[in-house]
Amino acid sequence: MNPVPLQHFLVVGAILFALGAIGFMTRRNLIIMFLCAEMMLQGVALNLVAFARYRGNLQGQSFVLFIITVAACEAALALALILVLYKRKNSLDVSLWQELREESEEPTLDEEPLESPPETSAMPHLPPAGREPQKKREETSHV
Amino acid sequence: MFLLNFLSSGLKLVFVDQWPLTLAAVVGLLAIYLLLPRPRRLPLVWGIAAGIAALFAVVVLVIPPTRLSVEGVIFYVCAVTAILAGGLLVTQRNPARAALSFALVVLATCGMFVLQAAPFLMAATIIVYAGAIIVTFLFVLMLAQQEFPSDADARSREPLLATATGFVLLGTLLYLITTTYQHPTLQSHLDEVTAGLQSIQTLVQQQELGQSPSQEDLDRAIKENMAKVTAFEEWWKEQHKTSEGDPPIPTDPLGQALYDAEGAFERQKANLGRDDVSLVDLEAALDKIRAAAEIHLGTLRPHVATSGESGRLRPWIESICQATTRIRKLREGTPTTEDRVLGLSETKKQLDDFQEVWQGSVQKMTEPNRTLPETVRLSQALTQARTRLTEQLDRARGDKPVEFKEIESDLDQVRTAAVVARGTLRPRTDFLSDLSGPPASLMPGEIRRDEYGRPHLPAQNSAYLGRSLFGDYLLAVEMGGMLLLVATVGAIAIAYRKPTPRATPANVMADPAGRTA
Amino acid sequence: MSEVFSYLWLIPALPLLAATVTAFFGPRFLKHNSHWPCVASVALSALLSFAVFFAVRGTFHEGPPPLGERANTVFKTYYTWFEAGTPGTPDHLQVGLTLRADPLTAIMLITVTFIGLLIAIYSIGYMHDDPGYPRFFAAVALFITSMTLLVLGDNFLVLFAGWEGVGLCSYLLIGFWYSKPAAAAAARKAFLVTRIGDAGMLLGISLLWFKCGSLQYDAVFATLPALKAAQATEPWLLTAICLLLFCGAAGKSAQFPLHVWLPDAMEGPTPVSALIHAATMVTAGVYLVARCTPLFSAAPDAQLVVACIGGFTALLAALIALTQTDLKRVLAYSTLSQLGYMFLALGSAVALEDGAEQPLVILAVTAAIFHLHTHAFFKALLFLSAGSVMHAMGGVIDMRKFSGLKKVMPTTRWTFLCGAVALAGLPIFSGFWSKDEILAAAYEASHVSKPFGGVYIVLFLAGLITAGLTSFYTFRAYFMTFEGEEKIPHEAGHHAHESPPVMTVPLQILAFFALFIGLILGPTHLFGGFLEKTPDLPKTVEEGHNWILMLGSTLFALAGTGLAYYFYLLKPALPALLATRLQGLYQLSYNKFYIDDLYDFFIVKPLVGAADFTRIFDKVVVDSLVDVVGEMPPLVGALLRPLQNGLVQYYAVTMMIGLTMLLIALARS
Repeated sequence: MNPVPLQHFLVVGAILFALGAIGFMTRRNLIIMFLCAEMMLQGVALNLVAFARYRGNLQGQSFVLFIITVAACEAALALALILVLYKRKNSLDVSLWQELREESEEPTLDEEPLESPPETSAMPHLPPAGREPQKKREETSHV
Repeated sequence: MFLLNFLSSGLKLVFVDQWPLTLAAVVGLLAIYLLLPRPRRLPLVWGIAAGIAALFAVVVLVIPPTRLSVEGVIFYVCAVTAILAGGLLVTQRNPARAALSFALVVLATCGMFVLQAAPFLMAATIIVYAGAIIVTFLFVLMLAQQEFPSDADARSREPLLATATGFVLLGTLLYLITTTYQHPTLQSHLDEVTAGLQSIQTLVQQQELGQSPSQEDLDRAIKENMAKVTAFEEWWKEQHKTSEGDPPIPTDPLGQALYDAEGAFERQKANLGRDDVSLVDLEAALDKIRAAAEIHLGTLRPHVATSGESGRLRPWIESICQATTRIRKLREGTPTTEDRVLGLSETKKQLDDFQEVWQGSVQKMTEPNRTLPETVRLSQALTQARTRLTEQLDRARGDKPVEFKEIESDLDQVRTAAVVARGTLRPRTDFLSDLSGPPASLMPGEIRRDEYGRPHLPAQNSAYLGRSLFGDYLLAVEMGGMLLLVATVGAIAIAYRKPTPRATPANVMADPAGRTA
Repeated sequence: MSEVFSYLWLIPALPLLAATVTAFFGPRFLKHNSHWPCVASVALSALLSFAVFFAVRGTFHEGPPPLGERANTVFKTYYTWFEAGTPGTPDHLQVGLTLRADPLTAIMLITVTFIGLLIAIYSIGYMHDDPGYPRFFAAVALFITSMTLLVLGDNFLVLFAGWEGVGLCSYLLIGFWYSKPAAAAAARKAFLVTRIGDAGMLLGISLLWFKCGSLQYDAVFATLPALKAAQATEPWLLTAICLLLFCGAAGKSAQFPLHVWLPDAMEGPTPVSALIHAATMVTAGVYLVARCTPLFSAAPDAQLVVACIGGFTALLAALIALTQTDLKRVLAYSTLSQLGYMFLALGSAVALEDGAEQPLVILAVTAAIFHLHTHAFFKALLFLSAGSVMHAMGGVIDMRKFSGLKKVMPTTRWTFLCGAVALAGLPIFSGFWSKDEILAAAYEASHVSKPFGGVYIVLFLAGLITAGLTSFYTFRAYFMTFEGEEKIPHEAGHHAHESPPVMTVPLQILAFFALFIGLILGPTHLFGGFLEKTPDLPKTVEEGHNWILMLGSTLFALAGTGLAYYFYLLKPALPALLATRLQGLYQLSYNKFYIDDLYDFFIVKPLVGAADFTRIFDKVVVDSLVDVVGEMPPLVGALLRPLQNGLVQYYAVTMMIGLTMLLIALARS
């Protein structure tokens, strides 16, 4: 039985870290950004645990516990902040917040139009029994 | 010129020496770039294909798999799941689905935690992350529900630049990991040994089938493999050479395995003519070498240059050893006056040079390092030894008896102090208690290991982790708790909404501008 | 008597204290009483100076003299100013604030403090109601300090300090009415022109230090034999030292190439013209050359230059003075002329090749200092009288605008006449005796000087002609101002009147001295007998007056006076007729021989051109270079500014790039 070498874990940790960084840099939804930040923390935690095993001690594991603590604090504060931000602009888009730019710089705006929302069929109204009512369309419209 | 050199060597490194890494990074970049959300979607299939190709390239080319075991299979399952879920998280448009993929990442990571003997962490992570944090995220998502499609979800900020940055970072990280933890020479020796092991295993199978192998086959197998083992052992000894001379029996697992194998081959070579060659003995010896070498492939740090003060001390320790030998010879033999003066003055010169170099090093040290007891001890030992040598040199010139024994003990003290001082730049050993496991200052070869070469861990992992946390890390734990408390209070304070006054008729009358709205 | 020397330092210190007090408290507290500190301190200094004068006659030794024992000389070192070099080596230089009292110093001290006192008293009336009243007296007190320090100093550096101090005060007082552009320009001109001379003088002092290793007079003169010996290899040495020192003297005493500042300096208040630009400061150059007589008399070439420049200036200034219409300017050119006389005398101090007795040297130096002394009295008197006229005429000083003032200002008329006869050198009055000695010295020099005898004859003749011209222009001024029909400019208003007693009393005192000091000191040999006690001056031998010479100079003076009488009283139309007939000569003299214009064309214009060029160069080349450098940061900033776009994810990218760089650096190492 062969142990998996240290570097395999390190590589996985690095990949998770880099993916999280890329997500943090590209995604504009505040919540996804913070999920990505958490994924970066996961990559680091994996590294620490692997080193702890490699060194045969518990220091790395202790550190991971602190990482979890910090992540919890961060999540609490970040979510509160996200809520406040959402209340201000009614959107989770991080790009709406660019007032701290240089005075002379133009605001960065999106130019390419979004594709139109996919056609969704009208929701069927179910009676309490769960059968689809056999009524005509114009009758449903004023319900 | 310098710039040109730098560029050419950099390009050579990226595209020639490390082409598998570059390939994997570029393909991965392509995958993420294609998959990132944007108003006009790029073909999904290409992105997925590139992602899988990149994963494959990493697994096959960058970190070649070892022989598969149950542990390995679990690792690969978990790792691939984690990476795929991570990719999904980054590229997913729907935030709720992204949260769920993150949960998957956490679960896969926890699987790897178990593999690394951290069951408590696995449980804690699942509870805290998957149980608390992700759920909170989902709650917030529900509170902050937005319409589809939104700017936030359907657009990416600078996809190419960010992805390129991320993958250059990843490539650099992987390069560092592979160059630090993979060793080509050891790998080639291991491959040789593995090949030899296979040849011996075929012979063993032949034996089991009842066909006794021919004498030439046996002869060749033993001689070839013995040469391989000897070469391996010599190279290994070269790598682990110390000034204090080689111990008769190596202390590290691979060294021991090589030593044992050499003995086994000697034994079986003697048996060659007598027709009772035990091939199983050889097979076991080779297998032991292979196992130990595979451990070392994950642990060896071949190219880490001995830098800083500790590296500079090494040649001096050797020169002190030479000096001790010289003095011992003088003490044991019956030297002429000329010999004694010559030997003593040579030793004194060595010590003078050493002291000069050491004083230079001390001056360059930072204040805490300079006042460390180890540093001071070496300085004192050097001064004492030099004073005595000067004294004794005068006596030798005056043809009086010289106290070689005292000189020898002085030199011994210098050597010990230097060896200790060489370690002063390592982490302090007395920082943590035994509860936290072996100290970080231990070299990998010095760690106690089980028969598979893995370091021992306390059996009651959670209990020991708790003791470590509440023993060695008590202050940090308290601070972490305080941090959590503050964060909770802060989160409440931030999210607190002031109750807006109701628009009563009186209010409206008082404020016709309608500011109450 | 000798305990007075303990208070030697008080002579410069008291006016300094007065200057400080007046400068700091005058405008705020003293106001119209600002003259008191100045007058009181100068009076005390004058008293002390008289005490020193009488004390220094005795034979005594006071304190350890620096080099051997000296009769009639006192050295007081108060403070080591600075030291350079290693003690005990030849290049060690120690300059102390050392004062020295000897007969030459005593004479200068009396001249400076006594006349300074009278002028200060006169200024109380003259400067009355001026808004800068405290400033004036502070500057005058500071001037007295500097001047006394100049004459008391025992080494060249203290002398130089006083020298620059009087230059500063001269600048301050010429530009006293600094809001008047002409006054400001005149102050600047005076400062810059004298600075040219000072540069030469500083070089001369440096050369002295380089060659003699000391700056103390006695020490320098003691190395004279060595310097003479060194002339074998460096024949230019002594001449160069003397000419460089003379350069400073010529600047300060307004001799020919550097004389242009003095006439313009008349823009200052008249008491200043009297004190600084007639009586005392301008004679500092004469004092310097007289002090360095041992050096100069050893350098005949330098002596010749000094005499030539002196004689030439005397003649030139007299010629210019003939046609000037501004009363003060006439007096200013007269001052130039008389200073030229003094330098002529000093330049005639040719040493005899053989023998320790040098009758000519002491004769010439005595003549120069004697003339300095008498000139100080009568020229101060003339200036103050002119100031009195100016005061009464409401600031008008153009002689064509007034005449016949003898009824209006009887006292001033008599005092001016006293000054005029003294200046003109009419027999038995002061100028007669001193001028006569100068001419005698020049005449003697023509016999003694072997190679340059002819030159000295020419100079003697020039001096003689100048004597005639002097009496002519002096009486021209007198007749135009006080005689003839009464004419008063309208600027004077209806109250053209005699000046108050505070002005006329000093005038009368000065008039007395101007008339009789020559008679008291000259023929009795009191002056020569006193001055010869100065160390380093050779002892005199009793010598009778050259009666033929005296007769000749008297004739010239009387002729000049008579001519003036004929021209300006008997035939008032004649001068104008003569001026039109001799248009060229008249214009030449009236325009001061176009020297100012020449300077303007050959020195000022090219310098202004060069300044313009450098200004344009600075603006176009240097400034644009600086601008380019200054533009770089904004340019770089403009390039980098888009990074700061407020989007948090760009910042994250930047951080990641930084992290990657760090890792790459780590991987490369």
